[in-house]
Amino acid sequence: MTPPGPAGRPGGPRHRVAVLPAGAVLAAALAVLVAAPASATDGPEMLLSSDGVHFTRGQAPVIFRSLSGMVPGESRPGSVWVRNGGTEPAEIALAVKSVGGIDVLTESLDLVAGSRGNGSATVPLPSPGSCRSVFQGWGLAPGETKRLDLALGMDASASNATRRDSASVQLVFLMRGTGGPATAAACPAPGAPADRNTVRQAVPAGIIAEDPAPGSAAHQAAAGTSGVEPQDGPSAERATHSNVEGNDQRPAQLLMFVAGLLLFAALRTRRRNS
Amino acid sequence: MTALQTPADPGGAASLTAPERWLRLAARGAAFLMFIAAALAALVLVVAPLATGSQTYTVLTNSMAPKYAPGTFLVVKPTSFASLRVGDIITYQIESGKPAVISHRIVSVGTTESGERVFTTKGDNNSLADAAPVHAQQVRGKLLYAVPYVGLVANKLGQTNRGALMPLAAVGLVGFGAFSMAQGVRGRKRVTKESGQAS
Repeated sequence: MTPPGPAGRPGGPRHRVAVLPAGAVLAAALAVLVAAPASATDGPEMLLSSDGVHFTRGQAPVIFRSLSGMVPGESRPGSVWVRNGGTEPAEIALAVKSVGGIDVLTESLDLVAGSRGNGSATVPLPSPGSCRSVFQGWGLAPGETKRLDLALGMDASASNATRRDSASVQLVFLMRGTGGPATAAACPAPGAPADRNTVRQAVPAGIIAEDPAPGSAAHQAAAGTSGVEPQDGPSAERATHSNVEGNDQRPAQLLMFVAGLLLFAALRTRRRNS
Repeated sequence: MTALQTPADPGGAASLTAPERWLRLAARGAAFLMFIAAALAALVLVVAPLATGSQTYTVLTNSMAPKYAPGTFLVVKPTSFASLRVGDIITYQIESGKPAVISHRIVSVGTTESGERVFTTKGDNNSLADAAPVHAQQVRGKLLYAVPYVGLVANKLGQTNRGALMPLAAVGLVGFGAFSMAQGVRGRKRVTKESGQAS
């Protein structure tokens, strides 16, 4: 096999015809290989992962396993791994943007973000339609991965108005390369031009405040209908955060009595037959 | 098996083919298991609470998850306030005299300025303790035992005015009674017929 090389190397002039196309192919391949990192270094490469193993670019990872049925005083943890896939040092920032819901619920929610070596930051969720920075300027070396521990907490004193309501938020991750502006918040500034040195990735999350089981007395109370427990007072009085509901045992007792009678009758009939 | 022996075997088990015998055996086994399950359910869900004077509840939220997830059936026995300890799960009224109740775990015991003993409670799944201390008059009882999943069924069954389970259960029981009666009549007819043939 003729090694690709300059003319005059062993192989003779008659091989030059074959060497030239091979060289061209190799040059093209090299150009592609060199061009790929070149385009990557055009801006920082932010990779996100929900397990610290499988990283994706441009795809939203699952950070919180479930945010439904939240009750006052409760917090739900979540984790996300951020990797600097570029060749230059970068900084990351996080913001939370409310895209839907009601003020009273979003005001009752806090987002905590922390990472080893960077401490933690806590911010209340912004009102719907606005964005709030959680942290910014956390450094990330090329190829380095940082685990972010997040928690979404509901204020213990959240009012009953939050019940059964939902809020939709986006966690906006930003990575800024060294060539970017001095400070870069993850909240996009209105009208700001696109910056090649920053990458943003929004991860949506839907929060649903505690919703009593459909058909339960608490659910009916919340819906403003009458309850089922004879010892209960007016339905308005029950619009509090009960986490349990009393069962009326009488139907079950009656059912058991009737079943017992039938069983007795069936056994007696059977005995008589035999 | 002769026809003379049939009256002593009204079901006619001896005259059945092998597959029919196996089918009957399987049906009897299934019926026996169902009966045991029903008897156990009745004991745990109805008889024991009745015998101990307990009140039953259904968990609605995740505040005590994962051990007491929504749908868990709780049996709460009235217990003297003095005997309650840290770690016990109690059901208490959010406001004394009001129907709304919470079932949470006692995490600490304290005293008020007047020397009254109070509890601080917290949901196992909550990061914060409940804001207000629990006083003696609020406590409805201590958790005796819990049965997962069946709470929602029991809760549905308790809603006599809305639940679809009560009519279903009633129809099922009436159907079972009618079936038993029909089977009895059929058995008697068969015995009479076979006795006639034998004679």
